Amino acid sequence: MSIKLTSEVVRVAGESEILVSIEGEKVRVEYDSLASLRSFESLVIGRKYWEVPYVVSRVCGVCSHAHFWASNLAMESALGIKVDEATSILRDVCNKLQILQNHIIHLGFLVLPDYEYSVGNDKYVNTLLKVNRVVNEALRLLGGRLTNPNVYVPGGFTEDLKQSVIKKVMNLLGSVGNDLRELANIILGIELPELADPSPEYVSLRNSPSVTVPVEGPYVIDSSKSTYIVYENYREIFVERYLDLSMSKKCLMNGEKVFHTGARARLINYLRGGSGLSSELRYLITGYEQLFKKNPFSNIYAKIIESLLIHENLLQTLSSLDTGKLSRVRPGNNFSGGFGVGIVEAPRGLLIHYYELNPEMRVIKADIITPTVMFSKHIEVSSEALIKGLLASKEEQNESLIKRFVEALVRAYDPCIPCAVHIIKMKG
Amino acid sequence: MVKVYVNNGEIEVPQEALVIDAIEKAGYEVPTLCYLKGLFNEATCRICVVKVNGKVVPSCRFPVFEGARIIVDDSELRKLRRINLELLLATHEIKCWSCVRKGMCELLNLSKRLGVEGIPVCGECPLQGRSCLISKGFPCLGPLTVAGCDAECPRRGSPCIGCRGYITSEDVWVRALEEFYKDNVSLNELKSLISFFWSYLPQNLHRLVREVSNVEY
Amino acid sequence: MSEVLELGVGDQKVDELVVRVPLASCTLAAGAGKVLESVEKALGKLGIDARIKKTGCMGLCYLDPWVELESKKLPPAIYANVKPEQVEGIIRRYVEGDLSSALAVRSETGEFKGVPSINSLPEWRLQVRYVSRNCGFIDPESIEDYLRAGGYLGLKKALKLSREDVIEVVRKSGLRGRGGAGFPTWYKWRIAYEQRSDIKYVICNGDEGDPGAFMNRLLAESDPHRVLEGLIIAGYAIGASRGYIFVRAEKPLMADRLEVAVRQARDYGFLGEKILGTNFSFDVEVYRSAGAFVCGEETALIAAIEGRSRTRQRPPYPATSGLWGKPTVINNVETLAHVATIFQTGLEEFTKYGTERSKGTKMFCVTGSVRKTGVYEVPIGTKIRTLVYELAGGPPDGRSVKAVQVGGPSGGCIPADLLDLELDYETLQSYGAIMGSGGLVVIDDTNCMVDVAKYFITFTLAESCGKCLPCRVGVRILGDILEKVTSGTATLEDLEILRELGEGIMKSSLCALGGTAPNPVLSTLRYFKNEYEEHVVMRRCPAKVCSRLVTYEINPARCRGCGQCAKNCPAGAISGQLGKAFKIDASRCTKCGQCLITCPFGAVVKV
Repeated sequence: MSIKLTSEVVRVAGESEILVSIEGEKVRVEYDSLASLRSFESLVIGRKYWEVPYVVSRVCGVCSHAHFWASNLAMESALGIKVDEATSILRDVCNKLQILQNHIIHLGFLVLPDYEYSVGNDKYVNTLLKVNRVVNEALRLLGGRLTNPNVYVPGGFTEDLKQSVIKKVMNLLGSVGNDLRELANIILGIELPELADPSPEYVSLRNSPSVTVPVEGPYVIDSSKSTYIVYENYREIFVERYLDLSMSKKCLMNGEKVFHTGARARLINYLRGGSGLSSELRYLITGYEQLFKKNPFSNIYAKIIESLLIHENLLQTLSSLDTGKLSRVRPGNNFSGGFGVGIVEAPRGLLIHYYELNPEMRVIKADIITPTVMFSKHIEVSSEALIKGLLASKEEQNESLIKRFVEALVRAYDPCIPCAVHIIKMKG
Repeated sequence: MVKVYVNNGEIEVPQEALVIDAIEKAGYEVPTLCYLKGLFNEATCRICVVKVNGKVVPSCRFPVFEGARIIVDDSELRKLRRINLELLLATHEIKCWSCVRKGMCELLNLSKRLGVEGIPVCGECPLQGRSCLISKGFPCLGPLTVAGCDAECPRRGSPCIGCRGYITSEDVWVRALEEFYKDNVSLNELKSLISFFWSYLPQNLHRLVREVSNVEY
Repeated sequence: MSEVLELGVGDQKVDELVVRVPLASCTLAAGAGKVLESVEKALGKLGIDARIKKTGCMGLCYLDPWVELESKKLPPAIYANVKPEQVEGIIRRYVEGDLSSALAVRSETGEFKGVPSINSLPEWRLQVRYVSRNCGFIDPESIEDYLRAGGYLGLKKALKLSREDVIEVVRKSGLRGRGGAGFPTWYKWRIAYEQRSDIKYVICNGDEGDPGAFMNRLLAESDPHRVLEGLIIAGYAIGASRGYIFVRAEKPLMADRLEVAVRQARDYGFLGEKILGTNFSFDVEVYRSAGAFVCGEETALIAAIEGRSRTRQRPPYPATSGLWGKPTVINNVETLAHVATIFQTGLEEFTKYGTERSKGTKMFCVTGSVRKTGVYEVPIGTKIRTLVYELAGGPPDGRSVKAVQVGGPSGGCIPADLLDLELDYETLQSYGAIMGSGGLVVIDDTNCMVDVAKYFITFTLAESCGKCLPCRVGVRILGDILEKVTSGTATLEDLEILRELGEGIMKSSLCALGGTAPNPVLSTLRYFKNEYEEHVVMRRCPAKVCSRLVTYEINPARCRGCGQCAKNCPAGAISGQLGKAFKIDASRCTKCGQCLITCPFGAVVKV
């Protein structure tokens, strides 16, 4: 049978397309982006160091905090600035709040409908919206604006944060604890399709999301079998290539392995060395560990569990945070040029920012590797496996069924296209 | 007491009441500028216009009469109010950064309400005098950016990067560049920041900036 | 009530020669003063026993200065455009029976010795001289002349009626205010009459601020008592004890003549305590203003008398609360003249003219590109074409009418293809103009419509009182944009702004000055959009008026190289060698047009 399927996938941001071609035994899936060039990496060339985070946070309105944080980190490391602990912790808190918000919206509006939950179901939609609203409010209080934050710069926060604001945020978070559990019950009750991960490689930053640690380079990154210390060598470990005619780059671990990054990867790796969580949640994660390792669809479960995790972790962190210690550091006068790397966990996975600065503190080179780039190849191979599985099962193989399954799989990853497009450099 | 209809709702008001009193009593609000209850109602600003039996009149001064049909808002009235506000802004010397009404400006409130642009972010930024970012040497684009965001970034200590768009009035640019920026901020840095979101500045403003700082960027 | 009085054309029977010399502001400006001197000298020299009668003006301005000679044996003859040196000859020939140089004779029996009767001239025949019946015949400074012509009969009749009946007569007549708005006169009177106040005022609005309008001035300088009589009747009707006649300072002769009339009226008992034996006491003061256009607006006029002219938002209307808070009626000069004449000659004489909604006649002042400028009184409803072509003689040779501006700075332009419109309040309004005080300016093909709009806007801007926002700032911006259009720097978007802003100003201004200021712009935009667009898109002025868009060039085929243009050029922009074609340097040319006027060979052209 020869089917050529193209379908546009409904996702959080940007437009993407899946090309499926089935010819007899050969199944080929290509994940492509329909967006045009945005050229962030060349936009920032010539810009001053403190302007860059404002530009790159606009790569994506949904995960802007992650980009903002990563670029600030990279600048700070390039300039040799060290921020104080409270600043680091607060930034992590902001990022985690956004991860929480992203997960809730993705699960509620993009995943549940795939599993025949009608969006018109009042009760859970109200809960969703309430949680979204509350988390957004908390994020606004701490991070300034919801998208494209404006509340810290390379060197520290621009304004003192009062203890009363922290209290408010804690109250807000406290008010949605039960709602989160309710959502968890719904989502963990979904019946996931069967699928065996054809390339079980999971990559994430050490210790996230369970513990908030001051984040600075060099970065400890776990994969399913090894651990890497990553700084300027990130290019050798995360190799971006144009593997086909798609507009978006794809990424291979060490140049050869197709891998996954994101909630699923984080939870799996957490069990290897994570600490500091309530035993209830630890139990939960341990229980799902095998499923996580095996089935890419389980990213959905991983997300809601991670949400609970983050919620608990935030409350803990905030209760012991002393904002009186916030200070701001300026770069020194004797800068002679340098480079910096910033790596953070964005909602969808690892995010890497790299900048080179000249003695005037202006960018001369920039490189951004986003989570969607990292796992888009994984989407392709998983989809191929899924389709092969569907064809092999004796059920009726019609186009629309295959389409539904593949789309559901893609959505489980929560890919975000604005991150995935890079400059195409023509050779020769 | 007489019976009048405000937006088709019937209410009773005293004989000597004015249309604006009737509107207030009915629970609606009409924007005003020069009106000061009990002190001044000479109807000079023409912002409080409403329709009484189809005719456009200033509500601060027009008396009620039995059976008057008052319409507080419709598209024509909004257009008239907008035109008058734009006329006012055209002759208003906009210098929000050093204005005594900074942060509490009724013109700005009206502008936001009626959807008229022309007042810069400085008009709603609560940072006064000493802690103003520009006087600290930051190239904050507040004086040149259109207001409406409540000065989100400057109020938190982050210089404004102009994401809402530039003010189109050349007068405001000239005043800001010559009176405010010149002594405090490196104009090269200012130019660099201007090229952030505003690389498509119109010719006249582009020329202004080039003239003020004589270096190409 | 409807006695029709025979009003004689002259005064008492003529025994000797009577020389009528019109002395009004217009004729004096044309040189009537010198003509008068010549008449006096000539009469003395010729030794003729004659009476010189100083009169007002007929209103046929193109004749100024004119004189009229009348004797027992010969019909009255009118001589036009008289120069002082011609006077002696005219008088001598007339006395000898030679009327050959007369323009017309005023005779019931038709032409006389080849000189046409004035009734055969369309500019006279088509008029209905209702309120202007005395203008040019009687001595404005003689109350006896007025009485002999039937004056103050109206007042006598009115005083015999009750006040309500007086108002009722005015209502039945259908008289509408002749000052511009066309408001039914009786209605204003009725409201003021009903107010309870021991003090009430009537005011005669003699401001007449429209540039180029002079009907009121002519009427008040030629027949002031008629206006005064109307004012007294108005005062009686509403129960006022005091009246004002508001005259702007730029019309000193008008104010003087009215003051003389007031004094004479007092002497004869028409003003003062217990007038004509009734309980009605009334006096009048002539008030000279400082001369601002806005004073024509009634609240500003009242404020001017009170001390500082500023418009006030109405309501309250002056009829309920006006001068110093008292009920006040303000009427135009011509309106009051109509009132007096209605009471003098009866209702039917008035109502037999005019249209269904606007009865009577109106004095229209026709100026601009016409052969016979003047003041013409015609029934309301007369077609514009009749007024412009048949009465005023149409445009001079070689020109064609492009538009007619009706209503002054508050009015609009009626294009040439709509000249069959009738002159009445409603018709004009629906076509974007207003009747206004009755001034018509005829615009021909050598005028630029944008320039016309700019002229009026400049005027209104200077005259704005500055109180309300739309007029103070909005009109200025209209002017700025028009300036851009005439300089060729405007965009098509600017034309859209003109329209939107103009409409906004009209709707939201405080008074009628702002409310009508955009009219000239809007009406020219409506009917002459192509001219605007040509200015904007092609940067060209089709009428070659807007100086920035016009270049002056010397046609080498016609230039003889005389060098006169270069000598007269104030900017030194013309250069060349004698005997060869000269050239204009466009970068130095200031577009003054001097070269075009100077060149004897017509070699300079506007491009």
